[in-house]
Amino acid sequence: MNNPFVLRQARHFARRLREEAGEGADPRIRRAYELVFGRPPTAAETNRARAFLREQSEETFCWTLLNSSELAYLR
Amino acid sequence: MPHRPRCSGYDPAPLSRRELLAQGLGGVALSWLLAQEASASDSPRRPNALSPHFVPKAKRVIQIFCTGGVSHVDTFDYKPELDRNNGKPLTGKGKIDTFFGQPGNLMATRFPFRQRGESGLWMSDLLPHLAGCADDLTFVYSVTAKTSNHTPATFQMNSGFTMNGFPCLGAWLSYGLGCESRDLPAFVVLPDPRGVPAGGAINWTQGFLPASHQGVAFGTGPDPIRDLTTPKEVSASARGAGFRLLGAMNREFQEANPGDSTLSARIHAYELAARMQASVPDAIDFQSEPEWLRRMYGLDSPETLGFGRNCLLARRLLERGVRFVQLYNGGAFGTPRINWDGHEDLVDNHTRQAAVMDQPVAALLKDLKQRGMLEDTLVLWTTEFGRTPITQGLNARGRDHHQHVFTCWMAGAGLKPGFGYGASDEVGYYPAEKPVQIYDLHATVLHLLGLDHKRLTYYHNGIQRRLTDVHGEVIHGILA
Repeated sequence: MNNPFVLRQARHFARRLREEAGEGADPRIRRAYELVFGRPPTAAETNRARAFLREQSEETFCWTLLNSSELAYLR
Repeated sequence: MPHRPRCSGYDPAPLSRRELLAQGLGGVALSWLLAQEASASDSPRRPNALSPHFVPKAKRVIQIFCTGGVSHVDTFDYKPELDRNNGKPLTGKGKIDTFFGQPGNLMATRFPFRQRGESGLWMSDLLPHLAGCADDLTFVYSVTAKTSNHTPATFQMNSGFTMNGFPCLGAWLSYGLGCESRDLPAFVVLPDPRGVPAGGAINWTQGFLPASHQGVAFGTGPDPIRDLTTPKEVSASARGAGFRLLGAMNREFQEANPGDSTLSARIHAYELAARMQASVPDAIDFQSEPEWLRRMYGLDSPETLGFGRNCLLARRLLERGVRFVQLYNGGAFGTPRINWDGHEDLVDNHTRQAAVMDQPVAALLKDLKQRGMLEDTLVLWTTEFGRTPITQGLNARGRDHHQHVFTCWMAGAGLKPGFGYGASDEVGYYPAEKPVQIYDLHATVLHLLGLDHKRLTYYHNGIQRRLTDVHGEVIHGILA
C-alpha cells in the first residue's frame, strides 16, 4: 500500500496506459482493466472510474487497481 | 468468511447475503473514517465475538515465550538430589530419551537456589530480578510437551498441535472475545529483535479461523510496522479518494466471491491500517514514560534494550485495548545461539539469555502491578520444553532438549500468587505429581478469560475444532 515499489509501479502503469491507450479516459480505463484483471470493465465501473479521473490522477487510479482484492486473488 | 459463532452441535449454516452485508459494514466504516467524520461510533470492534461463557477474571493476556528451551533445573525447579548425584549416571528411568541421543551423566546446576519472598518458593540466582517477584508468580512444575523438536514444540505451545497451520491461542482469543480497541489489532506479536521463533509466522497464524484473527507482528525499532505511514509525496485527498474507490471495488469483489474470509480480512486490514497510522506512533512514543521506568525495563543498557523496549511496548499496547500480546525472548536456530538452546555450554548460554530476559520481565511484572493492571491481566511465561538433567554426551557441559517435564509460570488475574503446582521427580526427568499437558495450560488460560475451552469451537472440515482438540482440563489447583 505505501511501499515505494507499489507507488513506483503505479506511476509506470499510468505512463503505460497513456502510451498504449492514447487520449481520453475511456480507452485508458478499458486498457487498465484488461491489463490488471484480464477482463473489460462493466459500464458501471467505467462510469465510476471516469468520475474518479475527473478529480484524481491516473497514478492514483492505478494505485487502487494494484491494491485491489481482485488482483490479489484469483477466482 | 463471515460466520456465526457456533457453540455446540452441527450447524453448517451457509453464508447469507445479510450476514455478508453485516460484515461488509467494516468497509462502510472505512469510507466514513477517511472522510474524517470521526465521532460517529465508539463501540469496540468485535463484530462476531462470542460473549464470555462466564465472568472472566482476566481481560487481557501477555505471554513471554522463551525460545530454544529453558532449563527448568537451573531456574525454577529446585532439585537437591540432582546436585547430590552430580556426575553419576541416570538410572531407573527406562531408556534415556534425549533429542540427540547422546545421554551423558547427571549434572548439578551451577546456579545456587534459594527460597524467595514470603512464599518461600525456590528460584535460582540465574534470574535475580524475577526472584524478587516470586510472591506474584504461580509455577507449574509438571508441564509435559509432546515433542523435543524446536519447531513442532513451538507450534504446540501456541496452537496445541505439533503440526503447523492450526489457530494459535491469540487468534482463538481474538475470535472468542474480539478486540477492545478499534485502532489496534486484538492479537499483536513482538518478535525478539534477534530473530523470529522456529517456524516463523506460522506461530501467530489464525489457521482456519477467519483471517482477521491473525496475529500482527511488529518489527522492532523506531518504525515497528513497515510502510504504515502514507508517503509524503501522496496527498491526503488523493489517498482518501483512492481508499474510497478501493473500498468499493473490494466490497464488490467480496460480494461476488462469498465464502473466503481473506477478502473481508483484506478490507478490514486496510481499514485497520488507516487507523493504525495514528494509534501506532502514539503507542511507541515512550517520551511520556519517566526516566526511572525506562531504566527499570533496561532501556539504558544495550543488552536489554531490544527486549526491554518490547516489554514496555507490550504494556502500552495492553493499556490501549490489545487483547493478547505475545513477546518472544529469543529467535530460532543459528550460531552463535540467539535463544536458550544450551547444547554446548549450559551455564554460558543461560547466563547470556538470562541477562536479556530477567530484568525486563521483572520490570513488566512490577509495572503492571503498580498500575493495578495485574489484577485483570494474565501473564504467561512459557518455553518450548525443558532441558535434560544429564549432559548432552559424556564429559560435556550442555543440556539437551527435554520434553517429559519442565516448568512454566503464570501471574496475575485469578491465580494463587506465590504458589507452586505439581512436581517433577527427584532429578527433574519425569513428572512426579499432577502432570500437566499443554492442553491444560490452554484450557486454564481460556477459563481465566471467561471461556469454556470445550465450548469455544469453530466448524472446519466436518469437525467442531477446539484449541484443546479433544483434551484439556482446567488446572483448578492454581486458581484463586
